[in-house]
Amino acid sequence: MSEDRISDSELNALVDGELDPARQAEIEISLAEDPDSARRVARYRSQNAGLHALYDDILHEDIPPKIAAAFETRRSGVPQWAAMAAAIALFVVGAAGGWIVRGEADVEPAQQVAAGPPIDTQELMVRASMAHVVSHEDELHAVSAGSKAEVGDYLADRMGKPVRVPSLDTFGYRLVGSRVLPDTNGPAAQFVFADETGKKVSLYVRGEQADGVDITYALADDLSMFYWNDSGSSYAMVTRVDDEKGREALLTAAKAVYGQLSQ
Amino acid sequence: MSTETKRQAVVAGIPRLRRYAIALMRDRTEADDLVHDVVLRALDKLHLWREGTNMRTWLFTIMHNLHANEMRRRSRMLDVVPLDAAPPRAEAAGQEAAVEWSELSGAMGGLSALHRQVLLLVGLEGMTYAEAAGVLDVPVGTVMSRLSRAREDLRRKIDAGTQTATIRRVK
Repeated sequence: MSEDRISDSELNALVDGELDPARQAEIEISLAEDPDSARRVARYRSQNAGLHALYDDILHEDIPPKIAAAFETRRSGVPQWAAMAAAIALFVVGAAGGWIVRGEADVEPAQQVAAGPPIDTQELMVRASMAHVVSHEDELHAVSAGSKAEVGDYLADRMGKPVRVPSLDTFGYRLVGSRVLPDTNGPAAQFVFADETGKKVSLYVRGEQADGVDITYALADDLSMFYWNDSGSSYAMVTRVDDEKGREALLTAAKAVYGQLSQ
Repeated sequence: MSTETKRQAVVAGIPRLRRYAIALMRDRTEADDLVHDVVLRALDKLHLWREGTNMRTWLFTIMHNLHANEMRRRSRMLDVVPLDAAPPRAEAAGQEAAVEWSELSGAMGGLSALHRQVLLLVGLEGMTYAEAAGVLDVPVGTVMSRLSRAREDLRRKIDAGTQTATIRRVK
């Protein structure tokens, strides 16, 4: 039985299906007369089966958020922030047209009175879109069920002034978290909303004394945003929009937020 | 193939990357950190992936290189690399099977990283010797000799583990 004992590498190759069919057939025949080798083949096969038994469940697990976040941070074009800031495309939509209905006499027209420089749109857009892209839930102060007041307190604490928390509930977007980010004008706030499919809309708020800017549309790479300035703060609502309809929806949401925050 | 299609192919590769990383590193947090880094690297290098080549082996190659770098970095920092932290949970599906798998899990932890790699790539991932050699950047002959030694070593460790388990039970 042992004159041509099967070699180790051939036993392994048999287990791994690496033999050509003719040699495989020969070896399977000689295994019948070589119980020691046959036992080893069985052992190796059971090792493989055991590895599958131990680890195959992992294949069915959800992709952890941390890993999914890698796709957010590497959305096409995102790393080239400097280039993007320089080449940012601005599409002003009816800034002068004034669709904004500033209510009636009870609204103080602060922006028309306040004199100040124009807002730094590039700074706002770059910061807002960067914050949007890297706003994974892990990095946010999570919102415990429906507790808007708690979010307000959290932000007010860190920004040193009262912060109004907007709601997009009527648009199907739930507030999932908020955070405070460093900005050149002091701390900035970010609110992140998500719909049930996980699609995100974020609102970036930075302190900025300016003349007041009506809601304006801007497109940066594949991010759309509406921004405005009101009563010493600049706002940017950012999302990834694929079509005209999405842009309209974002505009409607931005108007709603504007209304809520300027009351 | 569009960038989006390639990105989808990366997504599709994640479950297998995780299975391998968890089995190799025996620590879920570290394994997921590694997979995260692999995904970032893959997305950055997506233009380098050649269509018609195997996305899975490409991803595994990236993972192997990152893991090897990390191990080198750690061995500079630490004298001892803890090989075997907590073994992964063995799914309870029949008491006997669970005992057997935990023996296997423990024995896997006792293998050298080189042996564990090749055993997982071929035995769990089902890669051909040539694919595994490509991922590990070694000749096919090296894959075969490592595999052969890894399986024998694993067999001995399981036997030793089973024996001590039996003795414990007898006592």
